[in-house]
Amino acid sequence: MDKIVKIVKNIYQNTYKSKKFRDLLNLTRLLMMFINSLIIAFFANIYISQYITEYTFIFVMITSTVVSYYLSFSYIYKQYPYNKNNENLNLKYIYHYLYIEAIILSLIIIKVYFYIKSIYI
Amino acid sequence: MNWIKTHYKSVITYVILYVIAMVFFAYPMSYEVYLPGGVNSAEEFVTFENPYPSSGSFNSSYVSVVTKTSPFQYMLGKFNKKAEIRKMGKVESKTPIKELNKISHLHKLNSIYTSLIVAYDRAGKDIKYTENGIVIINRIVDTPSYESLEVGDIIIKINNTEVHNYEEVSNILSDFDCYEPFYLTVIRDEKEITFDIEKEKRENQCILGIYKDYTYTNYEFKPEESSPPFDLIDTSGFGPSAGFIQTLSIYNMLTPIDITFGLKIAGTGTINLAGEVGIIGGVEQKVFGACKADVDIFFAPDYDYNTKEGPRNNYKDALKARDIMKSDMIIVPVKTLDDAINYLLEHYG
Repeated sequence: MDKIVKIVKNIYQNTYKSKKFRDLLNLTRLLMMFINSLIIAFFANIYISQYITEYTFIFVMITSTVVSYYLSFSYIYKQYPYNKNNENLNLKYIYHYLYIEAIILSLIIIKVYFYIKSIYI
Repeated sequence: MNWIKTHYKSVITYVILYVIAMVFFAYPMSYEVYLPGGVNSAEEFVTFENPYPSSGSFNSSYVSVVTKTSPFQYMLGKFNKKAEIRKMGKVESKTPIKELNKISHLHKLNSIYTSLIVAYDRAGKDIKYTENGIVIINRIVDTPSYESLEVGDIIIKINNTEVHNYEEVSNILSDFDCYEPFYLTVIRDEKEITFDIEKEKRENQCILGIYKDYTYTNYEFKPEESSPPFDLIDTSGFGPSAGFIQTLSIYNMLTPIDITFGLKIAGTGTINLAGEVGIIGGVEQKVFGACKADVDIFFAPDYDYNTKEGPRNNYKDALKARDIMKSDMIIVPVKTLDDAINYLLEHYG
């Protein structure tokens, strides 16, 4: 338990505590939202048209969220000018943080998917 | 913000592309795509205390329907040889998906109730029920009742006179003149509501907008008093197309002769109280599903009818679909419940 608390503390101190990271994170989330919604909309159509199974669609929802976070952050980190010549962010912890956030979000998306399914079907 | 200002052209381009892509993936068009389905056991929605055993099985075939398709789904449907694309009616395309599902579920309930009555009757058994009003399955646009009634409403009284079935409703309504107000009492979401309504003139006819085909009798069954007693365990599902095969299945459970003869039997078609099998859509997709599920015999309604696309016949469509699947499944044309029972007894009895 102590080990988990230590890891979480470490990730927090090297990521969310920094104001600069929070700014980057908001932009990452914004871009991720656009990319992820496009990927999920595309695969939802494929799934509804019976080209993939429900399990594959759920798998796609998880992976697309993780990939969208990764792509968005990579893009924002390279493009956003105020990042240059500033304090160095610890990328290792950032990717850990993003991975955890992506997994949580993908679970929320899956929950929303089942909720929508229960309403309409 | 500075970054957006310096890259505003790229940002606008990406936003436009995003909007175009989302329209392509999510804009609801007035088309529906019928996709291959499968088969479900037709025996699991009702149980009896001591049903006669069955060596084979009766299965209802289903089809997957994507209503209000997106342009992308429409395109995928065009590429899929086993899919069929249909244009939705003007009213249907404007009806919310939730209401379309409710309508479809009410059709299913009606088919279950009709199946029970017809099967008990055909098997010479006694089923007890009362008729308590009529259920609205669908509303008709541009009729006086469209705004007042909701799908699922049960009409129980007209001007405080209790009504039990459509014939009674029709008789009472015929006494009212155009624009003569009267009270309609309905049960909506388990609450009794009374409102006034009147017939109106449409194309020289005085109408209200309640038609037999869009309603069904609200049967209240007395399972314990029926002989044999039964228990309805699953009334979920959509559409009326399982009506005929459900009836066969119940009939088989009620009679000593096992008419399945160890075969896996599927079929499609509605059923009415006279035991007549009605036409249904998406037969090809149902046959694709039945072939995949290794069904031995498939019953299909044999009536010629016209659609916007031209004349159709469920049985002939089923034969074409079977040929596409290169299956040796036997397809049998039926017009009534007795046709199916007689076919099984003559060929396998």
